[in-house]
Amino acid sequence: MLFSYSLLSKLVDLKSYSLEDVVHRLTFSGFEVEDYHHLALASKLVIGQILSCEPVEESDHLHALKVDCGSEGVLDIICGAKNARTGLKVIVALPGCELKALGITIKKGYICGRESNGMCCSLVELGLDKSLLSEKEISGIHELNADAPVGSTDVLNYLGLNDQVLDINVLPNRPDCLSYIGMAREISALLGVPFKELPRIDLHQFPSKFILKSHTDKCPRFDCLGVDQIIAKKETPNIIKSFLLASGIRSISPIVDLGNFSMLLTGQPLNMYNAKLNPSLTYQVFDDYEGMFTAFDGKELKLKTGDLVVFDDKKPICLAGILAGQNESITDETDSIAIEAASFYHANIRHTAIRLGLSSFSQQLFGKSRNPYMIDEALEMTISLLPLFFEHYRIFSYSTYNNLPSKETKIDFSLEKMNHRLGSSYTDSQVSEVLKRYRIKKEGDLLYPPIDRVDLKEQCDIEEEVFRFYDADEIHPSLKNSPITAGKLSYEQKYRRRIREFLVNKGFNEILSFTLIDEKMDKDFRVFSQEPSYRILNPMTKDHEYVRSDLLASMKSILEYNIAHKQTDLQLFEVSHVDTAHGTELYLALGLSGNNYLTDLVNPRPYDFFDLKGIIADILSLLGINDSRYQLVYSQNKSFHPMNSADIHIGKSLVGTFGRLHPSISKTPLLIGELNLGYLLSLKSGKTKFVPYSSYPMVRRDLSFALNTNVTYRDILNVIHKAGVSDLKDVKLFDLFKEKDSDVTYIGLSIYLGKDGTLKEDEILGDVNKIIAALKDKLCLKLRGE
Amino acid sequence: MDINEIKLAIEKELGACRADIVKVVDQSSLNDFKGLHLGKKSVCSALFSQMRNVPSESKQIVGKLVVDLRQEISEMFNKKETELKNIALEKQLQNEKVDINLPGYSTKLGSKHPFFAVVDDITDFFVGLGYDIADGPEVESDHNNFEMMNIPKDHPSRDMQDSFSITDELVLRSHTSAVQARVMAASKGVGPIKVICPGKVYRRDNDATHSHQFGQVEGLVISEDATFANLLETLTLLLKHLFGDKRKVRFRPSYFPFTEPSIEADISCFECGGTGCKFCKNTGYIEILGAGMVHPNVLRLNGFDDSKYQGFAFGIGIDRVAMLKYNIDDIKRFYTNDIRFLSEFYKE
Repeated sequence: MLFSYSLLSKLVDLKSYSLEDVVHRLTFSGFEVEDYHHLALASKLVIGQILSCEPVEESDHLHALKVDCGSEGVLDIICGAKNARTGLKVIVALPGCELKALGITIKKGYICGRESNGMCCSLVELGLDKSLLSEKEISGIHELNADAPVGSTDVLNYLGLNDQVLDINVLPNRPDCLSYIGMAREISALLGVPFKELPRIDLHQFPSKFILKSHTDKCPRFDCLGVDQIIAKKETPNIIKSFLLASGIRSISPIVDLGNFSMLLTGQPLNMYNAKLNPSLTYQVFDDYEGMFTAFDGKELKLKTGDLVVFDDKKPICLAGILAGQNESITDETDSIAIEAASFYHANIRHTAIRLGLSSFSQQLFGKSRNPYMIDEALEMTISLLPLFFEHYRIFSYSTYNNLPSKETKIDFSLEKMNHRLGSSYTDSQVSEVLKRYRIKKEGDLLYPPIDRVDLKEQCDIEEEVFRFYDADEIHPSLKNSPITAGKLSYEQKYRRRIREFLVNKGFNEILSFTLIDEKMDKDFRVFSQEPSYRILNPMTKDHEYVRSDLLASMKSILEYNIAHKQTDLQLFEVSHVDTAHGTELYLALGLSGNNYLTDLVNPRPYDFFDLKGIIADILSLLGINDSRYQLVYSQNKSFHPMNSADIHIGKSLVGTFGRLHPSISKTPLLIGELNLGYLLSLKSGKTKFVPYSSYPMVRRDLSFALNTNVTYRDILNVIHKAGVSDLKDVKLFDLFKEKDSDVTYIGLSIYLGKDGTLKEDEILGDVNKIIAALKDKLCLKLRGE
Repeated sequence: MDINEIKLAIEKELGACRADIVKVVDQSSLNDFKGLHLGKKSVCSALFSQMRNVPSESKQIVGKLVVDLRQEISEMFNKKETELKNIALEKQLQNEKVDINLPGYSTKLGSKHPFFAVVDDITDFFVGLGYDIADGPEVESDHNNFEMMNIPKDHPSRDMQDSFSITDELVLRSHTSAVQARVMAASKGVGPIKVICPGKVYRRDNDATHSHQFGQVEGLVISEDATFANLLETLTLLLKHLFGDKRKVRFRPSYFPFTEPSIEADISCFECGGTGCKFCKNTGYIEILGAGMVHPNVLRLNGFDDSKYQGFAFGIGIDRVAMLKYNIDDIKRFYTNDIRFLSEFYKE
């Protein structure tokens, strides 16, 4: 919220403090001052009066002015403003004047060959925010009142603009400080300087003539103050205008400004009704109106249950806290008003405003939680403000509908408990000082906070007051009494980390992609779940509307992004949780594109299926899952190349899919894979235990066979392992080749044999022959050259 | 032969050997030398065979002379042989010369994403302090995300965290505190709890400094004696670990619905070191995390007896830490995953 420093200074005595002191104290007490600046900033200004105004012949819009600037003399000034005219009193920026808002310094100069010795200014040029000024004020030079003292150089003070604006971040627990009175009380407590109470006028001296009713518990309090015989002042006083400006509010008319100014001071939003239009003086609140409502600007709104609506004796006249109905606007001619001060449940106001796309200043205020017990104080103060805005008025009634339960908060407080919880050593007198400053009454161990402090409810709230009142250094940081526990990564966390680091060591770059994806990405690439993904009800854009059920669409788009940026050799991975209607899964996505430079720097080869397969096999074996435990089948997934991709199964579960993307999905040969890492991590694998190895060296025999088309490597391994060779230790592929001018593919296998002793030549021969025979018998494989 | 004749013959043979050994340049001439001077037909052998003609009183002297001769020729031979081997080895080594400046067969280094590098770093720090790590779903119940954190429906601070809804009861978690609710539920009101919850969170927020997706590490400690002073020390240690011992840490009171008292921690600005600059908006400090003592209401809501237990909680933004630590200019870089960006973090 924006605060005028000079208005705050009127409410609390800040004479002995600099602005910086106050800013610092607030910031370190939980009220961060996000910014502070001069409302208007300019030196060397003077009030002048235009003595003559002649058009400049050479120009279509310039005027040559003679301006009486008092002791500065009569100055020739060339001015482009349309509203420059003889007799007008204006703000003159003299040569040497720095206008920070425009970043310029005024100099004597020549415009169209004529001397110009200054500039007539608008308020924009003095640094005021355009949004706070009227069209007229923005388009021309500022028009001073007829009684402005010509020659006065104290221009900013005359305009009431010699002020500083503080932008204070008021956090949701302190609605009381969304007002000048509240903020002034806070500053008074923090600095120990007196708060100057505003005069209050007893409400109950006025007759009760309104008929007020609330038909909903969302409005427990509704008060009206009737004011008639109003003759409003012609203008809101300059000083109030500038307080409004500094607070970020545009001055509109005295009667509107009264409402806004009172709201700023007290924090209680006020609404004004034209009392003449409602001779029944009945105001009642409903929350179950379903029907149309015509707003003051003629807009038709469809209301439904939950919207808080104020009715007169027959019809809706106001959307509570948001906007007035048709014909209900207060104008300069209005001479009889009902000032409403009510407590509307903030969430209803907010929901209605959001649903109908409406936003207003009072909605912003009503939309926040307010203290309903402050209504009396707010109206009592408002009455004392009336003479500032009205030449003449009469208060004809005050009525209240009050269904609020009576309120008294008691807090059982213990200093010992506080010091135990904070690890502090605050003393009794330190606490007493805080209680005194914050008007918290103490009777024994019981504390009674003042009614304006809705946030003080229990012991910890008092602890917070004490902590923020004193320097944070009062509490000495220490780990004393901190619980001692054995921290560790779980098995799953440890292996998740190991796999990520394995991949990084293998040259993969880890990526982090968005969980929310668009509809098309959501439909592409589902490996595990084909169920509909979670959909966001309130997405920010269509690009981020679905909660992804799979990582591969993101992987593909990131590969493609990089390829489009001429970065083609890619090894990427991502480990991420995925939330689906079935629960939370942990997936690992892999992506390869371009060339593998590892084995040959000069002649790299494109990544292929087996690069990805090798990595996946390594990951599985890192988890203790060896290749006998899983099966590969050509992938059934339509997004993948049917002959160049695989589904991995363990038992009946699909645990992963990898391979080349289908050419219809990606023209670039991308290799992509996904593993259900969470499932793999949940599988049991044997504990690592040392098994003594044979100290006799293994014997290796290499065999080459001509391959038949239908035989797979897996078939060959199975046959060899089942050939009844007890000495068989391992089989390794060492070659796969075609001879020149032949279609036959040969496979070269290394057979490793061994036992606990030396194998004799005839034993070896016997073993090898068994294998050859089995392959011939079961798979019709012939030895090369046979 | 008398002794003088033998001496003469030895001298002569030695002279011949010295002359011949110089001519030896390779293995074959070395073999010739061996045949000529140490072989069966060598002077040495002849002298040995004549030993029987030597009178017995001179045998000892002559024998020694001949043995010495053989010894000397052998040494000559051995020396030459070694010399030749060394030359051959030297030649072989020269032939095997490589250009050591050619590139190696390097597995190019991959990289952790800076976001996860920070998560790992913070995780290791807290494991060292005895914390466990908790995970939880990102699609979370409104109950866990808000209500258990003392943010009932319509609470004004829901505005601080505008969340993505899926149904009336399901949201994308807006903070990882939701995991804390799960941890507290699992511990059934019995402490101590010491846990951090790192993960992705989502808010309807998107501008130069915010992304709708970002990361948080939240921590929760509940025991009978955990204090605010413990919290301040834990945060000081964490921030110095992350940003270096030279950083100054300061605390400001703040407000969060789930903690009271609440604080925000600032660290001295990286650019100016605390004197004030554009980067820190002239404050000299950069806001880095929020924390506080667990609100008794949160303890009660989550099944802990607030007259027995107390604790603290904190939350730090992963992206923000990574941006500050690695001088990253735009949060969007994290999610674009340009390989040129990713590759820069190979050391992490």
